[in-house]
Amino acid sequence: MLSFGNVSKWYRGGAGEVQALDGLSFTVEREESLVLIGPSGCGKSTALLLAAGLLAPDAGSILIEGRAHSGPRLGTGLILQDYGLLPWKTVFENATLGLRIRRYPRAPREAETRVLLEQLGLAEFAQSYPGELSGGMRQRLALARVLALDVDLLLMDEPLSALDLELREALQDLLLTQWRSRGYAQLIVTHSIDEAVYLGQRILVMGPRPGTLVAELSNPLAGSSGYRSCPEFFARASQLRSLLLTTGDADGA
Amino acid sequence: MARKFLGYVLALVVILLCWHLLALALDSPALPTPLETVPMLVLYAGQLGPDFLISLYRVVVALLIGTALAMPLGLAIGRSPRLDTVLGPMLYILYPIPKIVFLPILLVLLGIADAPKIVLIALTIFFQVLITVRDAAKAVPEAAVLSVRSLGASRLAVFQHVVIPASLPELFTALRISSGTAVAILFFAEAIAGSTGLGAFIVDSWALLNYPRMFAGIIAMAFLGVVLYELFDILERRLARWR
Repeated sequence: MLSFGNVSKWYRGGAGEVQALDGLSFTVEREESLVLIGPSGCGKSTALLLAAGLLAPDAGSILIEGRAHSGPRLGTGLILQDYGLLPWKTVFENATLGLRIRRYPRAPREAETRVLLEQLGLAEFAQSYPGELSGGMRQRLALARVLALDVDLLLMDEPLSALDLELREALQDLLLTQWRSRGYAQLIVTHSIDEAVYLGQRILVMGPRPGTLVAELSNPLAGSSGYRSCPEFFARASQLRSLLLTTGDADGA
Repeated sequence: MARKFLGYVLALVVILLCWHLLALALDSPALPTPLETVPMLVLYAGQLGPDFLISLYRVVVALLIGTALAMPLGLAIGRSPRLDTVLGPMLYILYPIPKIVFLPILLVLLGIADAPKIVLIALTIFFQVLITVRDAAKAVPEAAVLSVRSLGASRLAVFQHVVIPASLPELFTALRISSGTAVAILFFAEAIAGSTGLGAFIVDSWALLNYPRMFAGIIAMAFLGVVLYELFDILERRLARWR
């Protein structure tokens, strides 16, 4: 589906050049759920923007379905940390924005969006503005906006970090339900160990900047129901915690 | 609506009362009481009405021209660091010049009718809107831009869905602030050149030492401001409903 081959990226700022990524290589298979975890500033978000086609690598190659991409791709959805919702558009207009930009015919576009909002529990807020929604609802709206596009690759940058624990677990379940029923591949960037173990079939650990892979953890049970209370879950979580401790720093939330 | 109306009534009562007390205290012909002034509004309605309309026309046309030119340029400069590097210094040199100093040149070039007044006000509006809109466009949250681009938006679609709506509230702030300056410049321009508009009406009254008539003109000028602000409010409510 998606493959990074020796990708490096530098940022040129006022303080000179900063290397964000140094020879990052990994692949995401079709229908796979992959988590990228690492200390803050390790270049996780950069990797995600590169995967989304919003940045171009300075070295190395990024292939999606075997093709190098230049610019955003139709089948790729992106959810950023603060969701990037448009405060001046209603819930309905936000959800339907991707379809509108792609000039999808209006009638089916509106019908499909209505169904999706119903599924995500946002139907009765269709005419509200994002500023009037709770954090969890905004998150679901961001999800609705990309799911409306029928994606085969979903990229998420700390999608749940702004939410409290209870809501976070409910939304992790929602993410898994959608992923299982729609069969897209997902790449989730997080710094939460629990979230990584609950969502990622494979967990890639990045070291401090410039970001590169330092470890990979296989986690085949991720996505199965009740995993959060299995002994395997705790075993994986503590394994991941010690991996992170030896490579850098991450909060244990 | 009813509450707003009540607010205006209350404001009028307070202002008229303060004015009345001040006029009594000063006891000078230069400051007539509202009781002397208000009848003048009725007496000179036939002259004030057309002068009011011509002043309103000049300001509104100037606002439209200034905004229509400044808005796209401000958005473009705000979103293009390269353009900002080139045009930024030019803006900073030209912006602080009080545009009223160009009145003599404009009078020579454009005559004494509407054109020099409209151009002068449009120039003032242009710079204030340009700088405000540029800064607003610069401050658009990057997450919104990236998200919309990831949905497949072209540069143009990013402007349409993100940059323009994000800048609209700032545009209205700029318009509110600059319309104060615009009315001041209008007064100067009308007072100095030509014989139409509220500025000319006020200065004529002054020349005749008819202070109540002059204050009737001042009241009309205040009303001109109210019309402008209410116009901005209505437009903003329509265009920035999410606020």
